[in-house]
Order: sequence, then structure tokens, then C-alpha cells
Amino acid sequence: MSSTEQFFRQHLMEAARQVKRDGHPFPMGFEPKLASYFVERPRRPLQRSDFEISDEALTGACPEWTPGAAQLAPHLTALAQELRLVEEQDGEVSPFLYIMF
Amino acid sequence: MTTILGISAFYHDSAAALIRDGEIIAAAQEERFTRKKHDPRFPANAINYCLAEAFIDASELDAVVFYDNPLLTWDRVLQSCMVAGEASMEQFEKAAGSILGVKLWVKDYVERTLGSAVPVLFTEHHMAHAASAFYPSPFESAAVMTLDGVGEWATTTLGRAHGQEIELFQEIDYPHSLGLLYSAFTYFCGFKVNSGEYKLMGLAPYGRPRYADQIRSELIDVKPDGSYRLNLKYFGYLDGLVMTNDRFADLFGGPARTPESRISRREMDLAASIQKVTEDVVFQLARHTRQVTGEKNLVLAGGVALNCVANGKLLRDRIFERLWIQPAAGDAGGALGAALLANHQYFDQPRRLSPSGRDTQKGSYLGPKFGSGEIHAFLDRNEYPYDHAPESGERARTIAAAIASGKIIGYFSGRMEFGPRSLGGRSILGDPRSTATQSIMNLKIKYRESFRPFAPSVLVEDVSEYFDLEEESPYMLLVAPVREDRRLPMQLPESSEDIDMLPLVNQARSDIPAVTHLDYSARIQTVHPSDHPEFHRVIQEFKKLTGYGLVVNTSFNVRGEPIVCSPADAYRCFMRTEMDLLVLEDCLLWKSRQPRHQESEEWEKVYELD
Repeated sequence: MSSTEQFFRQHLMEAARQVKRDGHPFPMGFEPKLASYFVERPRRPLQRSDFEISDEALTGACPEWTPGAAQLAPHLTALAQELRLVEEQDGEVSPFLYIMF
Repeated sequence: MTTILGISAFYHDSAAALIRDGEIIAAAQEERFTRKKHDPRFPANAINYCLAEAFIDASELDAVVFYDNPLLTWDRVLQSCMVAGEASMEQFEKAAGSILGVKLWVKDYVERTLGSAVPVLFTEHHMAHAASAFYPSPFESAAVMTLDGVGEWATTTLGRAHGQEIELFQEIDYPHSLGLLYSAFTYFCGFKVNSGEYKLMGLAPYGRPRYADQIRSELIDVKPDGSYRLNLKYFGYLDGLVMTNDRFADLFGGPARTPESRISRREMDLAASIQKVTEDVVFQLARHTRQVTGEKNLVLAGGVALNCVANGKLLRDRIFERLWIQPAAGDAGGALGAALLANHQYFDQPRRLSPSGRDTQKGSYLGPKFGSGEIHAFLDRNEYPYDHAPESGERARTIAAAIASGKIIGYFSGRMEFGPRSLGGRSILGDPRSTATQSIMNLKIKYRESFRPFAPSVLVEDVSEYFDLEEESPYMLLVAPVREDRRLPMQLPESSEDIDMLPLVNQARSDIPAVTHLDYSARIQTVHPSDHPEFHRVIQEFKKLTGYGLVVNTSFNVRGEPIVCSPADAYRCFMRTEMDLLVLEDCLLWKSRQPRHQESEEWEKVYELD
């Protein structure tokens, strides 16, 4: 089992069970009672810090992460270090998927 | 002096853009250099080009700005896989390799490529789109709409921009996405996601929107303010590697069309239906944005903004008085937007509008140019016969005469375009009056049987003589009707389950048949003399000869190939096809005088259809 698969099965799916117990992290369908589906964004001017991501944040939890993802941060750090630059970008784009990454 | 390099990469259409004190100096897509369509790899070639164009070394950059936030993208991937469960394993493996393995380490890529420790900044994906739409626009203030497949979380954002400030105040988040909905139909109708959307839009006039109500009731719920949600039980992109699932197929009477198989009535009607629904949502969003912002002008970016049919209708509907769309509206344009955003918001540089009242996108001619000396050296070294035509008036007359006599011209002039459209820098030109032009270009140049007509490039001063359009459309992003007095009656077949589209395509629909679509529409480029004087002159000369101030313009490539960049690319494409004349700046190469072309690869198999 690759480390990616190990992470997926041992940590991500475990977190998924928790997330599902708490309800979906995002809506999956229509809600007739809502007047609007818009998500309001915080109204504030951009700060210089909005452009900066520290090296530490790149391998740890990000403050904006949703809780389900944040709890995975320690395991992700190890996985990120292991996968770092291993994958060669072969330039192929899946013809079928509006790739989510 | 502030010099900033923007990059987009690791998704599709990677690109680089360089700005200096707010002026766009250079921008190019990586695919043009690597010859790999939609190349998502780190844009090392495009970066090198941008630095060379600016005559600077990497150490002189103030910052490199990446066009999205990989941490937030990763957050979305994790959440998405948690919702999808075990079924998303394959998708997760791909995402982990791409984001954890590559995208998180963009700083390393920058350092390795540039060999210099330049500060690396990040922007939010949709802020980069918004910046690419607003800052180069001619407006002091405007409403902003960005619509695409997905950024980090946002798929649609609305906002307002004024001076150097941009504020996005509302959004729709993944997995609810108008771009993904359109792409789902693109996939289902047998075209490639991310590039075949244009085909679906071109197919729409052949169909009737008989599925539109079904789409509205089952797939997308739209509120009066234009906000929307998808019903995820019909889509495959959360837990699989395809866009739609069996429920979607059941809804529309059977499985997805196999790519390159015959297009049936169903696909035509699906195309018409999703086009209609998309337009309706865009209009509702626009009305809401106008109401909330009170702005008279609108700027647009994101992949959905390349839907020029919707754009044209939006303009004609006059929800906003004026409209400006970033020509590189897809992810490539994110590189430009990221650089501009950092310039105005991070480095606090003031924004300067063009004194001409026009935009500052420079006609989107932002890519490499090859000088006369380089081209002569290339031709002489390879012993390719050519005529030297140094006088531009005489050269334009020769080219125009060739077009008027039915010849097909490969036209390579000035800087390469930034964005997906050819605008006279790297174009194939033909006679719009001829019914044969479309089939010749399709079968002998593009090697495809297309149901789509080609686009016209028209003198800006003459546009309203041919089309119901009073505005400029310099980037081929607006569709408008051919004037009624130019139209010819058409013989449409009785409605039947299956119709053969090609006889319809080849039927004359106006006195400019090669550029008139089935619904009498045309995808228009207006050519302004200050943007591309050479190209403008060619069309002027064509008008002197024929009375028509427009030519057919299609991208300089064969099917599935990136648009040509260099003289060598152009010559290779010229020799692989049945073009008659190649114009390489001031050199004219007639096919009949060229030596036999030796191929080193089976190029027909290299490039796939969209």
C-alpha cells in the first residue's frame, strides 16, 4: 500500500466518518426555502499578508482550513514531504474530468 | 520601478505574464513553446520569454505571484474526498501527487527556474481573474463577475472595482459551478472538457432547447438573484473521474455520446438547452450585480466568460452600458491578473487608464515577435524560396489579392496573441464571400469536418455595415447577428431525429457565408489600426478589391495543435496543410515553389480532436 493510499484509508476516511456524522461540509442539492445561495464574503480591503504563505504553512495547517481538513494536518506534513517533487507533470490533462486540483 | 512576474500552472494552460509599473510588457502560454496543447507544467519557457522581452534578469524582479492559493485548493480536495468516501481514492491519489507533490512547492520551482531568491506571493484564484478583467479595462470603476469551473472554493464571484481597489462581496462555492455544469454537458456530448466547450456552444444553433426545463428542474436551481446550486446526485466529479453519472444519462435518454461518433439530434438539443440555461443564469447574475453595485460598466473573466454567444446577448440586453472581457479569460489569464493584483494591492502602485479611452491590453498582442532579420536567417538557412516584400502597402495588396482569388493564407505578423483566439498575429485568412472557403479551410487546412463557421475580422470602422454591432469587439469575444439585409433564406430540414449537419453548414446564409452561422450569427473581431496596423491594411486592401471590409480569420494551427509561435512552427504547419501562401512578416512564401516537405513524425496522430 502506498503512503498516499495509507493516508487515505487510515486518516482521511476516518475523518470522513466524523465529518459525515456532523453533516456534510457543503450542501449537495437544492434548498427551496433559501432566498439566495450566495455566500457572503468578508468586506475588507486586501492586506499584504493576504498574498503571503509562510513555508511553515505550506506543510502544516492553514488558518482558513475547514475543521475536518485541519485535524489531518500532522499526517499531511509527512505525506507532503514524501511526495515532494516526486510526481513528474507529464502534461496530460484528463479529457473527462474538470480536474479538481 | 516595480517589475512583477505572474504565473499560472499545474492545472491547465499554464502561462506567465510580466508587468512593469503596471504596464503589461509580455504574456504567453506555455503550450505555444512546448507544442503541447493546454500544457499545465511549470511555464519555464514562457517565463524566459517574458524576462527576455523585458530585457531583465530574474534578480531584477520584485516578486513572482502565483495565481491561486494551493492550501485552500488542498482544503477543498480533502473536503471533497471526505464527502465522496472510498470511491474517491483514485481521484485523491491524483490530487495528492499534483498538489502535495508539486503545487505546494511552487516556491522551489520558482527558485530552480529563476536561479534567484525572488519573493513568491500568492493570490486567490478568482481575485486573479477579477484583476485580469478590471485593471486592463478602460473603466475607472466597474462591476465585476468571474465565472469558471472552480478556483480554490469559489466558482462564481461578484464584486465591484474602483481605481486600484477590487472588492468581491458574494460567491458561489464548489461543488456548485456553472462552468462545471457546462463542462458536464461538453463531456456528455462527446467533446473534451476544458477545450470542447467552444464546440458545444457552436453546436447550439442546430438544436432546440427542449431539455432546458428539465435542466432547470433537475440539475440547477436558480434563485431570482442569479445564485444557484446544482443537484450533485447527477454528477460524477465528486467521487469519480468523469463529469456525469448514470442518473444524468437516464435523464437524457441514454449514455454519453462516444467522441468523434455522429452527432445526433439529442446532442444538438442538449447543446441548445445548456446554452440557454447558461445565458439565463449569466443574465440573472448580471442584473443582480448591476442592482447591488449601481455600476454602469461590467468586466468579466473566468472560463465561462469565453462563451461569446452569452457575452453578445449580455451586451445587447443592455443590463450594463459597457462590457469588457479579459481575452485570456481562462486560467492563463490568471497569470496576468495575479501580477496586476500584486502590483496595485501589494506594492500599492497607482492604476493608470489609457489616455486613448481604450483598454491597456494592447490588443492582446503580448507574445513573441520575430524580426525580419531572424526570419530571413531562418528561411535562408533552410533554403526555402521566398519573395521579399519590404514595402507594407505593396505587401498588403499582394496578400489581399491572394485572398480575393480564393487562396488560403497563413498570416504571421507581429507579436503572438495572449489568450485562446488568433487575432491577426498568428492567423489563417480566407475570403468570407465564398461558400467554398469554409469547407476548404475545414478539410484541407484543419483536417476536420466542422459544424462551426469561421470568424470574421472586420475593419472596426465598418463593423455595423455587416453586423448588428456598434461596439468594438477586438478580442473575438462577442457574437452578434449578421445584418438582416445581408441574409439569405435557408432551407432547413424538417425536424427529425437525425439530421446531417454538413449540408447545412455549406449552405449560403448571407453574402458573407463563410462567417455566418446557422442562426445568422457571427463571432466578430474588430480590427483597429492602432492595435495591428499591418492586419488592418490587409483588410483595407481587400475592401478596395472586393468592396468587403472583412476577411475570414481562424487560428494558425491544425486541429488539436497549439497555435503556432515561431517561424519554424508556422512553416511546418503551412507545409502540412494545403495553404497557398505563407506570410512571415515581410517574406512571402508560395506553396507551389516550396521544396517537398519531409515529415519526421506522424503528426496526424500527435494531435487529438477537442
